[in-house]
Amino acid sequence: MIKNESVMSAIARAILEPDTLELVLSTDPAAEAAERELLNDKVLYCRLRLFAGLICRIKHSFLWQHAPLTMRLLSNRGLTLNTFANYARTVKPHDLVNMSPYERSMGFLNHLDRIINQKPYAAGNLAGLSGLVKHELRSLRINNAFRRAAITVSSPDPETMARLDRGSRICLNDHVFMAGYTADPRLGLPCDECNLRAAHTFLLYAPTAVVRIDSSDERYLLQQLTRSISVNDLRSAAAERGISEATLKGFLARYFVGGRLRFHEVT
Amino acid sequence: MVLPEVGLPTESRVLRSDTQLRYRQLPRIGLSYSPSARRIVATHPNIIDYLEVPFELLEQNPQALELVAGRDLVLHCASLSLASSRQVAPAKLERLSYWIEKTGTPWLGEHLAFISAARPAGGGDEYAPGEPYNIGFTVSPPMNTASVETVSQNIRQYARQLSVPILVENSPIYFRLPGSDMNQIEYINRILANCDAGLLLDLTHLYISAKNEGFSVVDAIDHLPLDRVVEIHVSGVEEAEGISWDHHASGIRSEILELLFRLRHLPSLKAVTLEYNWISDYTDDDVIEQIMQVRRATASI
Repeated sequence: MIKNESVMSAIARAILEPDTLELVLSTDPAAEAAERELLNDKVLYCRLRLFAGLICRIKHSFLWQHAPLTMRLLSNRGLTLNTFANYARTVKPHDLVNMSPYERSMGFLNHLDRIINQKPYAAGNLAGLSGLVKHELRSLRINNAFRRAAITVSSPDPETMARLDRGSRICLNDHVFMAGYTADPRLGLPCDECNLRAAHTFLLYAPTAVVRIDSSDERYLLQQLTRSISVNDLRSAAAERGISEATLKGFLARYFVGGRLRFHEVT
Repeated sequence: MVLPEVGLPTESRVLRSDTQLRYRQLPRIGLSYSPSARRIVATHPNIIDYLEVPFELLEQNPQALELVAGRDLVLHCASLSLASSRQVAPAKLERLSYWIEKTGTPWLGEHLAFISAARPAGGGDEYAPGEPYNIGFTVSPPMNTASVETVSQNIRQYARQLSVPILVENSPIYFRLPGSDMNQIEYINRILANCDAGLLLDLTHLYISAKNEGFSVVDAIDHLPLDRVVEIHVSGVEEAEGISWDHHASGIRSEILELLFRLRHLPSLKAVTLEYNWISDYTDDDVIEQIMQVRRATASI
């Protein structure tokens, strides 16, 4: 008869350290009987994996605020629990304790972004989930960067998001950029992320706002502005010399009412 | 709808403390603490009668209490790990006592479960060497005679140190653990026969257990010690991967509301708590609608 304490230890280990448990059982003939019995019960072990996913999901419930479209899509397709059960194996519970809600959400979305081309996400009506995840990753990152800057920088003007650099090029810092998709991801439908040439929908990401760019002239302007996103890590964008500051200001002012974007000249 | 037969109230500590409870004849309706609950009570001050707050939240964020100042509170706990033979540290019990006094809770609800477990020999943790596993979530334990003894003994021990009665809450069963040789209804009955605790009957957990284990929830209720039920919990259910799961962000199923209606006149029932404390796309209006459904089911409107 296995003692209750041994059973509970084995359960805790299967939930918190499944990889370690499997390793121990495969290499140590003298491993705990309760753990061996647990692992041999495939139904129980499968349910424990899902239960770990439930716990992980609850600890990531901020995702409903940070990435509601991704969460809704996973939920509607019945993939939430399995997705979190897989993710639970990659994160140490102790690490989660020390992570902020933002860090937890980013960790999960980055994980999803990495596995998005695998089954079952790449199949059928989830084929375009990738664009949606990337959209919410961008929105989350940009808003967090803005909040952090507003909190930690002692600048009296935390709204300053763009500047003229010494080379007279007009630059936007990593708080503003554009991305192209096959469809507007904010509609909650799966969409593909595309290079700018093939995209049908362009979104401009800025603190507190994600704006759809409809006009082809504006799109051209933004393509110029964001040319660098195809070659770097999306953290900056620059316009060509030919674009005047007045044009850029006039364009951006239409989207960022209230002076959220302001320009400083660097002399 | 026919009410199940119930026994006469026993002379338990829970019942003797009746005069301490500020509750009316009809069960009062409460909501578990969450950002949503805070907004709801701010905009609809009278829609609920009390808030249920977790001990663990107050420990992490004592300011939460200030945000609900002036409201009646019921304290809920997930830290006692009643099924574990290793008892919680005296310091934790002191903190629990502190919050019991501070909140003025009429009782303490705790899960019939374990949340921590000893590490096997050699199972070290680089972050917390020698410390037991902390699952961070309550788990239904092996259900057998030894577990009944452990839980009963723990309840008796903690009850001596706490100033309010303990209510034990049935956990949802997602899997049956090795070593279990009795069902949950027998397990609960034997524990409550062994100690002076009340029952926090989570109807959603019972419904989930019945679905996952393949028994009749109505039969199960008829065999529970209903005279010991002081508080009821309700929330949503989610089906995923062929299993029913607890879900604190979806509507209460009609079958569960019917069970609540059947039980609304239980002799010791003082409170019905809606557990909607997950962040989700479930809106404040959705929660308000659930509150109204519960009020209708308990005939308190």
